[in-house]
Amino acid sequence: MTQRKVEDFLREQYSELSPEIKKVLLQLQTDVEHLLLDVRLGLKHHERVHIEARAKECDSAIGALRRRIEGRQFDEDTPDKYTLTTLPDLAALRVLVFPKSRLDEVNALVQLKYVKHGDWTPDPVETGEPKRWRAWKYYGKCSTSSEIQAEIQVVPTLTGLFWQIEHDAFYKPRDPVLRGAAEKPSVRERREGVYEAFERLEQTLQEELDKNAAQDGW
Amino acid sequence: MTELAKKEALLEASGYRYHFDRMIYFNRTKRQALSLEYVEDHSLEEIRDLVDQQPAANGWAFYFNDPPSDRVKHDLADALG
Repeated sequence: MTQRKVEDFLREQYSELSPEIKKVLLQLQTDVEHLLLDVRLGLKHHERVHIEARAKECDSAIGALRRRIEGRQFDEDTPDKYTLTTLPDLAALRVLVFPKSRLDEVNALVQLKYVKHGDWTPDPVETGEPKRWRAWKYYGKCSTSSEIQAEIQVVPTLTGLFWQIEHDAFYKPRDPVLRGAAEKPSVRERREGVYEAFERLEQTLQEELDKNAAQDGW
Repeated sequence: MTELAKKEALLEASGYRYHFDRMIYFNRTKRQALSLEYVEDHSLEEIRDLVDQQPAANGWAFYFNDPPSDRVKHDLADALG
């Protein structure tokens, strides 16, 4: 009989956790939609607050756990040391916000509810050399599950849309070679250039919108 | 060029290849394998010292932040050829 591998144990675990992941996602989405309702109702014509929800798929979860290990090799002699519940984002929400002023407002609400009045952990996304802030991120648990960790990201819109493109282009094909290439330092350096460009673009766009608003006031 | 990109350039110029799936820099002649995390967390000088070392006497030498178990070393050695 073939011996079961770490991946087999993790697949079994995922199928047991799957209903709970869906419940957590439902609670998280409903709570955040409610939290941001007033902000969204008060948006000006050019402002955006877009909420996306996703449950991590089985292969993606196993891949994420494997990528946390140096050499990307599970130790087949100790399958018990691996569990999907260590992943901080089995259920996740991404809130895309434009412009920066709304981003700060949305982040303040999320931080108040989940960090100050809750016990979630802030884990801001910082990339590059030296490290630069790219987005807000928090992880923790919802009342519906004591096992599943969930994540909320509050992201500038252009950066968030770029992450989606990156995900579809490099990660969705589930090609480990392509994924490894995307993580190479030389490729990362180029990616930093894209982040910087989006940040400047979003800032300039905001300045032009502010100018337009000032002119309307004349 | 960032410090990390310089380390990568040094390794590649010294005959190390990047294993895209494992995210390891490896050199079959020297029987050395460095994890991406190790390269990130060690200075250019430390990486240069490793590159200048003689080949490992017995099998592969793995430079990881968190030393791998014998089983992991065995499986990685198989993967690296």
